[in-house]
Amino acid sequence: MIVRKAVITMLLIGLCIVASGCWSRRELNQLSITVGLGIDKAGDEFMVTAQVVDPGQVATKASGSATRVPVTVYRQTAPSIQEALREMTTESPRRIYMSHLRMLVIGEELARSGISEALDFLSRGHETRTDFYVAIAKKSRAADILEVLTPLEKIPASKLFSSLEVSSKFWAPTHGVHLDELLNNIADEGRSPTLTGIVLSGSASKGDYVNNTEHVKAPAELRYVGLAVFRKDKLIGWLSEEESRAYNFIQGSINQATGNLECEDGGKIVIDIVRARTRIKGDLVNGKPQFRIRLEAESDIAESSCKKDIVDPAEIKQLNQQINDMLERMIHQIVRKAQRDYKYDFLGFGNVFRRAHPQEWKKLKDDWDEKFVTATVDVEADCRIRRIGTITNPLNQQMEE
Amino acid sequence: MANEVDVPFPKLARAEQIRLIKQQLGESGDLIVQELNSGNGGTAALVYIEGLVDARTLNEIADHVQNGPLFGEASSAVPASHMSRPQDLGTAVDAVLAGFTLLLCDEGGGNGCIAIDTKGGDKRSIAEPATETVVRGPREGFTEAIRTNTALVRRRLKDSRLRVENMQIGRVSKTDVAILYLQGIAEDRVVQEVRSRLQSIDIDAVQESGYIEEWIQDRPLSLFPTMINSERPDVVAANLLEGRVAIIVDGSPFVLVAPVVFIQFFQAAEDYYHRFHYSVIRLLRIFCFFIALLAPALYVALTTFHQEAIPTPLLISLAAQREGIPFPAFLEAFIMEITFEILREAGVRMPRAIGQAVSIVGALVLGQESVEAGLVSPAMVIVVSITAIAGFVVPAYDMAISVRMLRFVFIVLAATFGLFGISTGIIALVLYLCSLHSFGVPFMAPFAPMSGIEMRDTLVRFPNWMLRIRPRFFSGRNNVRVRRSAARKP
Repeated sequence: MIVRKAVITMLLIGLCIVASGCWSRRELNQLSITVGLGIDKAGDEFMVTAQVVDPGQVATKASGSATRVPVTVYRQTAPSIQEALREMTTESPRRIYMSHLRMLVIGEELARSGISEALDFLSRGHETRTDFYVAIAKKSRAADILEVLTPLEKIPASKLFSSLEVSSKFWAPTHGVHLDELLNNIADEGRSPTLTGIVLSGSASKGDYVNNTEHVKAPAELRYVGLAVFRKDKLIGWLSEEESRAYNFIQGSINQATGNLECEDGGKIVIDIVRARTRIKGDLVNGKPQFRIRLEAESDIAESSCKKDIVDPAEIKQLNQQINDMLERMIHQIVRKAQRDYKYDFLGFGNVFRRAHPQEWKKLKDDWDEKFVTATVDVEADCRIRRIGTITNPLNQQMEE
Repeated sequence: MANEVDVPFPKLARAEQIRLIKQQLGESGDLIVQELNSGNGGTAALVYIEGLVDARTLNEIADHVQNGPLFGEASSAVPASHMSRPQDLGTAVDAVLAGFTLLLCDEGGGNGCIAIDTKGGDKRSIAEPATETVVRGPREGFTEAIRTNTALVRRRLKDSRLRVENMQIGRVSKTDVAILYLQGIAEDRVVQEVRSRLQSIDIDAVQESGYIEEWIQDRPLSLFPTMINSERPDVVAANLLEGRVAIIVDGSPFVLVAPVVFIQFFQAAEDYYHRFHYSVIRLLRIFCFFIALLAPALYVALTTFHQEAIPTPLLISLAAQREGIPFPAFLEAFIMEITFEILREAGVRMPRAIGQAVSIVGALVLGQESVEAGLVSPAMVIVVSITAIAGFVVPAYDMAISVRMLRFVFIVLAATFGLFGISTGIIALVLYLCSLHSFGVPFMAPFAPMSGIEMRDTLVRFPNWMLRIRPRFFSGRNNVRVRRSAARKP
């Protein structure tokens, strides 16, 4: 009896194994590992560019063969992104595999007409993760961005990823946005996303040759510039470097930032903000929204070519005051830009207000834009210089004897 | 045998006795009959099998018989340890075959037959055990002679409570088997269970303790061993002290110990001789157990079904390696594992002379050349090598065998169902392990059922003064090892 049961169980298990035939098995060499995806507008359709890794060329220690490049790009135009990706298999020998996507680049034209449709595909698909960065191709097509080879990093999409990650931390005007953050920003009431822009500088036509990496200074380069401002899912404008910095200060996404202060006698002091925290309080005063931004920061002195004696605490105090003034000015500037030029709250104040006063928000949210234009914004910056570096007074001073 | 009814064997005429013995043994060439003149004027004969007897003792007996004063009773003057008087032919022949010498002499006015213990012959001397070497610790190992083995254990436990029970198993081999236990520390129930299981064995020959192990284990088809075997007297003595029962089989240097639990297969003798910090290596052994079991399966599952779980640079590297390999990952794993098993078997069997050649061929096949020929990927070679090395880290060889077999099952599960298959396999394995018993003791004690204080010698060994009690699941009552007053504070 027990033997019979055991035999039947064995047969059933064996049948499972044989009949399912290693169901949904995918060998590594049947996948095209896509690291970069570019989406552009082509009339009413989407033009999708996929940057795919050639593993053999990436992993070899020797330079491999000089005529093969580490990535390949497939491009297709179709009414929807899913169709475009599937149609790529007519050109690609393997299935496009999206799980290891590092970078999504959206062309400016498509961004201006709305990215939500493109994003729906990416968030809905089970294969796509949400840990890749999204960026906008400024004044060019995403397809052109993805075709440029980069020095130092064999896979260009990896270079874009790392560069955005590092510059988010060290260079205030840029901010790396993952897909999930982007979706949250679009969906949240009273807030809109911003995305960093990529610019192809240099000669584009030379970018896709291996030659590009054979020079000490590559002729074609990809670099990040300021932020793009969105109205929900449509791009409405670009911020300058200063404005992008201010925006990031307001959002509190500064990790480190650099700025310089002018001295009376012509030199300048460069400070490095190492820690920053922003608190925004929103209130309704006399029917008008009022916001108080408090910015706390700590900084070091990175460079000094001033005649000031920076060891003197009184001088430091004065410098602090200067920094505070500069920060406040910066933030006022961008608030003015939002209120006057764009007439749209892309800074996310609506969201702050919503969290503080949800009942009032319900009444105001329908014409928030008008309300926002009339809002008063107080800025208070409190930045303290903590360290002055490993030498005291600058070389300039010591030169004069 | 017809004679037995009317005349008992000892009373038969000398020549008749000798004829019957020779007939029973089929005129064996090594049966020696030595006729002597006894001291008191009569004749005597010594019957023995050459090679089984100790020559010196034999000579002393012969000497005594010939020259010693015999006042009628030859037996009184014979300086030997063990004597008996077989009453029938069968017993007499058994005695001769066991290494006794039959002294056929005048006794009580007629013929007599005395069997004297002269067991001897060539034996292996006590040497370092081949399979369990230590850096620090005794280097004595059991030999094939049962009396030497029991003596080795007795030397370590000079307590009167150490019991040695003899029995004979095997119709043809008539192998001597001894059960050892510490009366009062080992549970009576367990000893009785061991005894009764041994007595129920009905087999023609017992060549090695492994035969007995297969007969008496709890589950005949068990995947995992439920008894440990050891060549070291110190290991056996330590096990006896914890309330277990040892089974020594004549002819085998491997002594069985039962009942055992799973964690014992990861305990090595050295853990107890070095400082307790060394026992952290046990964690490494357990880790290697899992590597040896699961590493190829995990590799196959991740690269075939779950590529999203691998970090991107590693994935690209693996993909690069797999370019141009004709086999799917599962087949690659299978081939490499089978090749390694072939190499391992060949390594065990080959004569020493060609050892060098085999190892070179092995390195070539398994390593660089397979990769260069484009048959397997380098990552696969690494996985298989690590798996193989990890398999050797598990101290108990029997456990390593089980792991080797199960590894293939897991590879098949991984190739069919991916990580889901592996997890199902692990669950099934855990269920199976928890359902095993070893002579009534749950196999996964002290983890399941969990018992805190008894876990002090499982994953690592706590310092000796903290191991205050013996595991309760072995020795029910008497379980104080270290008296509280003697315990040291750190």
